[in-house]
Amino acid sequence: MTRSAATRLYRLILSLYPTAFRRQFGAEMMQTFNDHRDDIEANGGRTDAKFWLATVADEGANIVRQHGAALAERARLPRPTFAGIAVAALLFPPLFVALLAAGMSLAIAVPHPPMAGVAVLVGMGALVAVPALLAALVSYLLGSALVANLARRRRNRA
Amino acid sequence: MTDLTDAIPLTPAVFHILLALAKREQHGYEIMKEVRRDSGDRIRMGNGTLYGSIKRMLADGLIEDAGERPEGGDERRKYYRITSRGQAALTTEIRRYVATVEAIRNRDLMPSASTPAGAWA
Repeated sequence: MTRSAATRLYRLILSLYPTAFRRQFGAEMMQTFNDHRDDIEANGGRTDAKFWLATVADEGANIVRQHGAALAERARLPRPTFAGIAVAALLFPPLFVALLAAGMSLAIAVPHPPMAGVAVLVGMGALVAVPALLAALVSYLLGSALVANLARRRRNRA
Repeated sequence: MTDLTDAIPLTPAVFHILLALAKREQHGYEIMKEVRRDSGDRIRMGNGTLYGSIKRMLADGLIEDAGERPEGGDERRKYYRITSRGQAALTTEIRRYVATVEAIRNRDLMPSASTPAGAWA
């Protein structure tokens, strides 16, 4: 494999990393890869199939790990506080009613086959449960963000 | 930042990176080569393992970006150095190794250079 082809292939591997990881380490990793390849070639070796298998296995495992870490980071909910939950409890009822109304309107407006028996129960359950879950999540996130923002402003003023 | 006791025992990769940085600042490829030398060519750390470990160690405060290049260092590269927290983790881990070696010696299990693998001393 030519040097430019090896560089292109490694760049392609790097592109599979999450953006934040690539921004932080991408250039360094490219440099380290080039150093390693130069060293192998200087010692009379070649970047053969064995080299690429080891590279792909090692990078593959780390790519999966870094995507997992990025997902966990994104999914992290704010720590619950008394004030945050109190604000969320105030926000929940109007949000729930609004989402329920939107869901009901959608269910009436969208044509669907006639339902009977268990299907009606499941449909009604989903019509209530989905807006309830959504309203709980959104009011919790909004409540926590509002309280955190107020606390930050108070700290800055003090 | 996690509690230092949570980091012990260190993974082989983290231990060898700290060992490589114990005496001087180094860039990625130097660390990779030093790990290979220190382990008698048994640990061949790939780029993914190296930078995955570096990311975690930076977050845990075990190492930091050295900022300035050491004398004679390559301007294009980023150098890393061990922090006091990293030194403490390395010392704790080395003590653990020494205690393990002591226990092996006390049980008279220390292999000699001629002992084949899998045989008792």
